[in-house]
Amino acid sequence: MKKALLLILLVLLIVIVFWWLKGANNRTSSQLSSEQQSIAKQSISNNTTDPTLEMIEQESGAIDQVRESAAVPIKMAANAMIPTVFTNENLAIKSAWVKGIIPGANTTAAYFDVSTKRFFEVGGLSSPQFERVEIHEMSEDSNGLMSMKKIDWLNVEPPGISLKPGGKHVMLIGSKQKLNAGDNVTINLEIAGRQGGTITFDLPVVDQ
Amino acid sequence: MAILALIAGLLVGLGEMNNEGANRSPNLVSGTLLQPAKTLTEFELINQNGEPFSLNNLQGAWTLMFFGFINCPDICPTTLRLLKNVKSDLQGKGAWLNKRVVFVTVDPARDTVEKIKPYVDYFDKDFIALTGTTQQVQAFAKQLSLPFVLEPKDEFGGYNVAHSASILLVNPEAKLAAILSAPHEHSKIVYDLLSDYFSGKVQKSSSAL
Repeated sequence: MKKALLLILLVLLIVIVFWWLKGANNRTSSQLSSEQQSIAKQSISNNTTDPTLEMIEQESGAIDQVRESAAVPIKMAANAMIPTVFTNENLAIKSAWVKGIIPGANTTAAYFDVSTKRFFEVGGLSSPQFERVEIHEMSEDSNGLMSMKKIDWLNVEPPGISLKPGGKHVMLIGSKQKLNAGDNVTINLEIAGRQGGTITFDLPVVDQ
Repeated sequence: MAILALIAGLLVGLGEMNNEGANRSPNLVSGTLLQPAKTLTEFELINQNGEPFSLNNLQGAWTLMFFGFINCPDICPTTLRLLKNVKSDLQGKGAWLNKRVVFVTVDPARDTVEKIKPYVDYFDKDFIALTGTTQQVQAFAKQLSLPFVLEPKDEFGGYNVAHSASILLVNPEAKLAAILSAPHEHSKIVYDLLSDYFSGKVQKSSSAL
């Protein structure tokens, strides 16, 4: 009998806490004006960085409502502080870096994020500082063997693609010169299709 | 009465199994413990200083072992960097004294002694790198059940090596004790290595290993 009562009290307590928390969220959201709320919602659905978003966070301190909806917008607002190395009307390349070449090796990897509003194919990479530049993808077979598979043409779809350690990356093979942290590596890449062409950008070398 | 005795016997038996040794085998969050640990047989490799390295060199401490190659741009440096961070973390907690890191090349043709030394020194001067002849490295990898495959050369003569991303744990008796599979998470590896099982404290019962 006692146990049953305790259980009911516990459940009631949990329900009360839950309602209190929900109430707190509702109170927070009402602090945002309707205009700010619609901008926040729009940014989330477009998945783009929006300086207004940062403003909302700072002014009203209502991070909770945005955090509740999606963690991505906050991360992207943070990424907005990392310089964009290339941008045109179709795409932007950000968070670009090259891993420093380890002594003894002559190969290294480059990573960057591409954001785009259109679908396109990327390939034909080259660099004046390396003999060859290729796009590779890590894959694991059933025996646990990790291998790299060269991708000749990489499909990029909106909202974009992220090349990062452990996943797709750009492999820079055969360095022609010594590269130190802080140096820049120039990469040329071709974009296939109607609005195609060659784009060139520099990436900083970062020590591992 | 007989049934009671049977139950009592079973309970005692179970109790015995659970309490084997001073250090109970932990459930690893970063990989799988091999029970029993696998005995390794004699092998011959060379370290980054050109000195012979064989089975007895694996004794006396826990070895975190990783197979890779120098021209691997992604997984290998990332894993070595992770191992470096694990070492720093455990050093800070006073838990690194009985541990070491060993990197074994799966590309001995290119990764000679002259090359593996600056490579591994870049991450940590205490890390050990091993190379040898192709047969020696293949034999060693085989007894650890770690396959690797040299891929076909491209038109420039370059090639990659498909290899496992696992980190192996060899115990102070030079037996393969655990396999940590990728993706590797720093916090999970540190959590596991902080357990008493890896602390190097004296075991009451040798059967624990």
